[in-house]
Parts: sequence; structure tokens; C-alpha cells
Amino acid sequence: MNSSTDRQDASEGACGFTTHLDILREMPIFTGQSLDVLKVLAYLSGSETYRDGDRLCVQGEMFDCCRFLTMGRVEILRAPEHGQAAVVGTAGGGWAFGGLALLTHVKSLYTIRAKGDVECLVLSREKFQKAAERFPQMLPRVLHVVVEHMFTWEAKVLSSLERNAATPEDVHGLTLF
Amino acid sequence: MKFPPDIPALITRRSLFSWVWTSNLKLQGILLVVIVVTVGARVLPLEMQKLIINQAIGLQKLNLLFMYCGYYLAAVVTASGLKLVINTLQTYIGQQSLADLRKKLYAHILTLPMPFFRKASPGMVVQSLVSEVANTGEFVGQAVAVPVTNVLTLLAFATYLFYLNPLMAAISMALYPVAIVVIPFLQKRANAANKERVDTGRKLSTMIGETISGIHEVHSNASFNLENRRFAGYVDKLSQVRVVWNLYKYAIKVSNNFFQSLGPFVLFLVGGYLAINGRFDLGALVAFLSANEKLYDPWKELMDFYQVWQDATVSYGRIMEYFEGEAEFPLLPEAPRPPLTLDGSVAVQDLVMEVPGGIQLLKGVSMDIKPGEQVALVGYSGSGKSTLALCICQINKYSSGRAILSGYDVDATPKSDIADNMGVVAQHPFIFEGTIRDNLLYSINARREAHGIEGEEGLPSLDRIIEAIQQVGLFQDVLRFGLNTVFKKGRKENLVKKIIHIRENYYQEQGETLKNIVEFFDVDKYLYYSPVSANILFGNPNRDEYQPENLAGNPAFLEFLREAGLRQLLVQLGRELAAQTVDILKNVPSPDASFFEQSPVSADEFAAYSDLTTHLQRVKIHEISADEERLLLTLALRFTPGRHKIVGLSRLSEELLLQGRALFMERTGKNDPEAVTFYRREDYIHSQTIMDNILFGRIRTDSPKALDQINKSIISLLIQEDMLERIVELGLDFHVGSSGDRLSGGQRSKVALSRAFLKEPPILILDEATAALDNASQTRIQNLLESKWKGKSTVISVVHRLDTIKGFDKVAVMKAGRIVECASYNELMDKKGMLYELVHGSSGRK
Repeated sequence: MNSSTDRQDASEGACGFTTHLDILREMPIFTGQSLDVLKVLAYLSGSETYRDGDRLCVQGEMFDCCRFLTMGRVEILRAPEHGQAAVVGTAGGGWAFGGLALLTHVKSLYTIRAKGDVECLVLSREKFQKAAERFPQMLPRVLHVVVEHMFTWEAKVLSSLERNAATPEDVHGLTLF
Repeated sequence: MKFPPDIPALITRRSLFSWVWTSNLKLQGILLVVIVVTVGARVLPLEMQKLIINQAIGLQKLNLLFMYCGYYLAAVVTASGLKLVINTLQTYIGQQSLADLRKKLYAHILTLPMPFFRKASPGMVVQSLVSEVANTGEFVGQAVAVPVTNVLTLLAFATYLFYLNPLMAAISMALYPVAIVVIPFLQKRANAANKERVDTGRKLSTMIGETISGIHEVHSNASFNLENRRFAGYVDKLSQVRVVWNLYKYAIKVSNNFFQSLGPFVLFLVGGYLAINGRFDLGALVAFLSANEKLYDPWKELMDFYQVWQDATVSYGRIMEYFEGEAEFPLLPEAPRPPLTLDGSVAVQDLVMEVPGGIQLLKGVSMDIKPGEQVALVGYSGSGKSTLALCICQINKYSSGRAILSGYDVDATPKSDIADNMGVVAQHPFIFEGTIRDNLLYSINARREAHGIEGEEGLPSLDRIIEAIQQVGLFQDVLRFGLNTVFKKGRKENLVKKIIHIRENYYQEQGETLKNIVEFFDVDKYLYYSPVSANILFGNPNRDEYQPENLAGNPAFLEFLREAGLRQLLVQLGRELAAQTVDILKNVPSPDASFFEQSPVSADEFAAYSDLTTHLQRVKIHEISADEERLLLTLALRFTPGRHKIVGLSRLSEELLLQGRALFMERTGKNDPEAVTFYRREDYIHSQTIMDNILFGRIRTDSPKALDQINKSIISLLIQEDMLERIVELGLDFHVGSSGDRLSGGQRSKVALSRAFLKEPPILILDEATAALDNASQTRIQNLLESKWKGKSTVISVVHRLDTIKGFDKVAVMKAGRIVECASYNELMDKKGMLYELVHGSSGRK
């Protein structure tokens, strides 16, 4: 009698909240957060659905939420400074993006386009910041995760530079923290 | 009438007593008169006692007995009645003074300079204004009444005693010096013991806290005996100290009683001896004893008053010290005159801004801005761009140099003139509890209030307001708020008709595309985006007891729920909803309204449901009281699975509820057809919003894109029906919540920008005002500045992101407190200097 798309939020026993909580516990950016904090963030998260061709975020536009793909596939497009956008990759369920957007005002570096029907969990910066104001231990832990991530990234850049034997001028203003 | 001493204008320099002088002196005068009469009324009974004993009883004259007793009663009743009058006057005077103090103190606080607010905590200000000043009010009320009453009473009684018999009076007075020595001595010992008690108590608490924090260490070492012994030590010491302290306290009480009893003993002894020897009459002895006893009360009141005085002095001193400071700038012109009109020219000469610690935020900045020019201030963080902007608009006080507006120096011009001519938009604007309209008109209303303009004069028209919100990109939001309005039945009937008309047109035009984003009110489907109450009723309640919030208390409805097999289901659902909400939010300190969007519990109900949940953990579901059941049912009836994700709705529950709906329709149709009007396409649903009525369903999604899509398509229909303005007007009455917490950050910024634009000032200062806005809105504001305000108002905009500065007349680049470049965008980019580096990053330099 009811189509499955109507029922996706009200499946047997499970509710949006527990699904969100499970997702957030696995998300790298929230590593180390206490369960109480994660519960609040799961509570504040929402879910969104997209149809084929819809854009989840647009390069150059303000990035104001973090998303986790729960179902479907997306294409990642990147347009160089003067030129057409090209697909640089695809991703499927389990991929998260926009974590850094929770922390500050940034513009998106890429466009994400849905291929087919897509569902994702959404946490907006505003809600995240409201929670962060109230839990002082949240941000230091997020910072810790971000710093580790950057360190890994720097290591990769350095090793790829070693391999390519680039001259220092080619480093293009890369700042090592 | 005493000549009042000079009272300093600055509130923090006033002494505590000055408030007595400025209290209602007329009432204080009346108070004094009443006191004198009261004192007289207190002494009279004593004389009556003497006369009753000596003349009435002694001479056995019955009529005299009645007469003197009559006077006695009259005097006592008068004294009591007048005491009530005294207390009332005291309280009134005190509260009036307190109100005066609060108003003057608040007015003073608002004008304090910025450095004060950087270190002050709002909590401290609240506490000072609300509770700490209370004992000053108490003191002012008592300051005249209590000392005067009691001193006069003491004097009156003492005089009467000496009049009766000087020898005995002298003897009874002799006891006082002894009491004065002994009792303070005991009091000092008691105070010392008390201090030790408090210290020991504090140490005990700390010890317990430490141990509990480190309990895993205690468990792993199994150091239970050790810890118990430590604890016992403190507890024993505490109990010892308490015993000693109480001993001293009782000793003081006993001494007091002893001295009190000693008095009559001495008097009986001496008085009796004199009476036996015929040198003293019985009546006088009785009067003497009465008077002696009565001396205690005024004495005690004076001691209490002394305490009130001390407490008030300490609190008052603390408050005035905290709020010490003067406004940095003159607030009003010295003599009343019409406000200055500035032309918009801004000049800055060698401006230096130094803060405590010798740090210079501005190191000599100079700039010239012509009227109507638009200047962008850019630079790295810490370059001083915000500081400079705030110096120009008289928020910061610069240390040296000059800032000149139309020839007037900023540090010498009254704030009233500057505020009249300036619009300032901060990055985190002040949005206060009230409607959007109140917030939009804040600056204009402030200006009107300052100049005493009343009524409608000076207010912008609705058209102008709509234009302003359109220009900043707030129109869609306000429209959405308007569409979220719910009408009570019977209001705005013509609007209702038009909305039904729009409903039909909209469905015909857009019905197909809407299917994905709207959940229509379909009698055969469960509505996930409507509350349970709407799902069961599936109609418009015509009577109050069927309104959604009253259903849980409606006996007929409760009976229906039981019949339909839904009662236990909903109670359990309510319990889960409460438990989940409390579990998630219990650790969130001061959650604001936005935290309750995902739960059927509202912010002010949270405490009640918290208590209920705790209670329910110990009680079985069939043991709960009727009130508790009502609370749980209320929650369950509000449950909207599309919005509230904390609990899931099982298929079984859904089926039961749908069957319940059918049963409700059947039962109501049979028993009480007038109670509810079921949803029909041609009827307006008063319990739903305008938007829900137009769609005849609820929107499924929160995605701004979908909402925009719907909004845009509705707008043209609203215009056709000539309803657009009405809806926008409704939207302007939306309540933004405390600190505007029902608005998003972007919406708050737009309100603040609109506020400044509506004021139409000659100078606009924007301090990163568009930082919270998305690209489209930023561009829109930028275009607005260039098209509407160029040449009309001077704009100084502190900009962090550099993509919007191309249209400015001048760009001033700051670094470390100085302007390093100042010219048009193109000139600076061609020069390839600092601005170029900022825009392209240091890698751009080749």
C-alpha cells in the first residue's frame, strides 16, 4: 500500500536517530568524541535525498554542512581556474565530505553530483557550532583529528616530491606547519 | 527641613546615604510623624498600668478601672495599627528607592566604555542589578524609620523610668554595661568556631570530591580501609567543632535570658523593699517592670538594623566599585540643539590606538574619504582594520591623532549626533527577542526615541520595509515565515477564501511535480509529516476540547483511545519520546530553542519531562497517575515521525493509528458531528499553516533548494490573488526568539544589514557584515551598495574575503596597524604590491 520511498524513515524498530548515531561513530572527524556528544550530534543531524543530476555542493559556493553518503553514488567534479569542470572521481555509500566546513566558513573546492538516487546524512555548521559551544571538550578533539590528517597528508606530499625529485621552486608556496 | 548635601552626578560616586536623601522625602516626613505618635502610644499603657493598680484597684473604683482599661486598649490598638502603617511606608519608600537605583544604575552601565564590557560577565551584571541591590533598598526604607523609632522609644521609656523612680532606674540601667561586655566576648568565640566549622566542612567536601574522581585508583588498590579512616577523621573533627560552636551559641542565648531575667529580679528585690517601706507604690512597680521588659525589643531592632546597614554598605560598595567608570564620549550636546547633519566626509589623521600593555593596534593611520565614496579595508588578521572602523564610529576611543566627520572631531562630538548619522553593522549583530519588524526598526526607533518622536512619524512604510528586505535577500525568508502562520478560526475570512482558490490553482499547475516533496492529506495514508493528533483526527477541531493541545485532557477522547486500542500504545510512545529526549539533552548546558526542533518536547517543558522520566524509571506503566498519563499522551500526540527521528514508528503502530482514524471518523460522525470538520479540499484547515493549506499537505524536506522552488512557484499565485503583501506582513510579525535563536546566522546578518539600510544614514560602517552570508547574498549586497548607495552614503567596509572588492572606489590595505596601500582595485593590482599578494597568495610573486 505504501511505497518504499515513503517508508524509508520509519522502518521497523530503527529510527533516524540510531542510524545517525551509528554513522557518526564511524566518521573519522568525530574520532574520540564521547558518546554523549555523539548522541547530541546525531540528534541534530538530518537526512536528505537527491535525484539523478542534483548537486549536493557546488565549487566556489559557501560550504556549510558535512555530509555522509548512506546510499547511492556521486561524481566529484573539479573545474580548473579557467576551464570546464571534469569528473575527477566517484564515490559511493560510506564516503563523507565537508568535515572541515563544520569548523569555519570555506568555499567548496569541488562539485558533487548525484548519479541516480542518493541519500545522505547532513550535519550543518550552525548546529555543530551550537553543540560545540556547549561542550568545550569537542573542538580540541576535532582539532587533534584534523592535525593528524594534515600530518599524514604532508608526509604523502613530501614522499611524492622525493620520488619526483622536484626543485624547491616547484613547491609553489606549500607551507609545512 | 534639613538641607540635603550635594549628591554627585556620577552614580558610582554616591554614598549609600545619598539614596535616603533622594527617596520620597514627603513620605519620610509622614513616617516621622507617625513614629512620634506611635512612641507616645507605647508609653501610655505603662502609665495606665500604674493608674489601674493604684487608683482603680487600690481605691476599688470600678468606673475608673473601665476607663483606664479602655485607654490601655486604645493605646495598644493604636500602636499596633500605626506599626502596620510604619511598615507599609517603610516598604514603599524602600522599593521606590530601589527602583530608582536600578534605573539609574542600568542607565549608567549602558554608557560604560567598551573595555568594561570586554571583561565583564553578563551574569555579574544581572546579579548586581537584580539581587545585590536588594538590600540597599531595604536599608533605605529602614534608614529613617528604624533608628528614629527605636531611639525615641528607648529614650521615652528611659525617661518614664526615671520619672517613676530615679534610684531604681539607675540600678536597672547598671545591668546593661555588664551585658555589653559579656555577650560580644561570647559572640567572638562563637564566630571563630563557626569559621572553623565552615573550613572543616569545605575540606571534607573537597576530600570526598577528590576520592570520587579517583575512584578507579581506590578500587584497584582496594584502599577502602585507608579512605574510610581518612573520612572518619574529618567527620569526627566536624562533629566536634559543631558541638563547640553550638555550645557558644547556646551560651549567648542563656546569657541574654539571664540578663533579661536578672532585671526583674533586682527590681523586685529593691522595689519590693522600697514598697514595703512605703517609699514606692505597687502601681509604679508594675509599670516599672513592664517598661523594663519592653526595653529589650527596641534594643534588638537597633542591633538588627546595624546588621542591615553593614550588609548594605558592603554590597553597595562592591557594586559601585565594579561599575566604576565613565562614558568615554559625551552622550548629549551641552545645550539642547537640533542634531547635526553630517555630509559623509571622513578624515583620519595620524590615528593611534593604544591598549593597556603598551600594544599599539593602530600606529598612525591617515586617510581621506569624500562623501559618497566606498572604501574597502582589507588586510591580514590583526592588521587593525576592524579597530580603525570602530574608531571612526565612536565605539573605540583612540589614543592620539584625529578622526574627523564633516569637520567635527569624533572624540568631542556627542554620541547622539554620531549615532543619528551613522549605520553600523557588526559581524555578530544584536538581534533581540521580538518580531522581525521590531528588529528591523531598532535603529530608527532608537533615533525616534532619542528625539522624543511619537506615533507613526518617522516610521518607514510597509512598501519601504519590503523593498529593504528584498534588497538584502531576506524576502524569501520572511515570506516563508508568513506562510508558516496559523490562523485562529474566524479570523481573516477573506484571506482564507483566497488561499483555497490558490490551493486549487496550484494543484492544477504543479500537482505532479509536488508529489515528491509534498505529503498530501490523503485519508488512506499515514501522514509522516503531521503529528499523531492530526493523523487520528484528520480534520479541523471546532471545539476547544478537540484542539491538539487539549486532547490529552479530553475525557471523551481518552475513552475513544481506549476503545480503539491506542491508549497504551500512545502512553508507551510518549514515554519513549520523553526518555530519549532527556537522555540526549540532559548533558547539554542551557539548550536554546533550536535544540528542541527535533523533539516534541519544548524548551520550557524539558525540566518537567526530565523529572517525569526519572520517576518513570521506578514505576510500572500501569501505575502512573492521571496527570503523568496526560503528559505522556501530549507528547505522543505531537509526535511527527518525519521530523522527530529519536523514536521510530513501527508498522504495527501505523496500522493501528490508521484504523483509529477510521474509527474516530465513524464515532464522531455518529455521536458528535460538530466536534471536528474533516479535511476536505474545499475547506480551510485552521490548525495548519498557510503553506500547508495551499499545498493541502505538508512539505517533506528541509532542503533549501526544494523550499525555494515551492516558494517561487507560490509567489506568482499570491501576486495574482493580491495577497503577497499580506503574507509578507504576517512574516514580519514572526518572533525571532531570544537572541534571535530561531533565525539562522545568515538571516540574522541580513536583518542587521536591513536595519542599517532602512536608517539611510550618511555614513555606513560594515564590519565583516557579510561574512556569514552565502555567495549569492554577498554579491547581492555588493551590487546593492554599488547601485543604490554609491554617491549617496559613504561606505566603509571591513572585508575579509577579497572577491567582492572590485567595485569599491578605494581599497585600503592594512598591515600591522598601518595603511600600506590605498588606491582603486585596478591601480593596486597593476602595481603588484600587497593587495596583489593577498589576492593571489605569496606564490603569485614571481
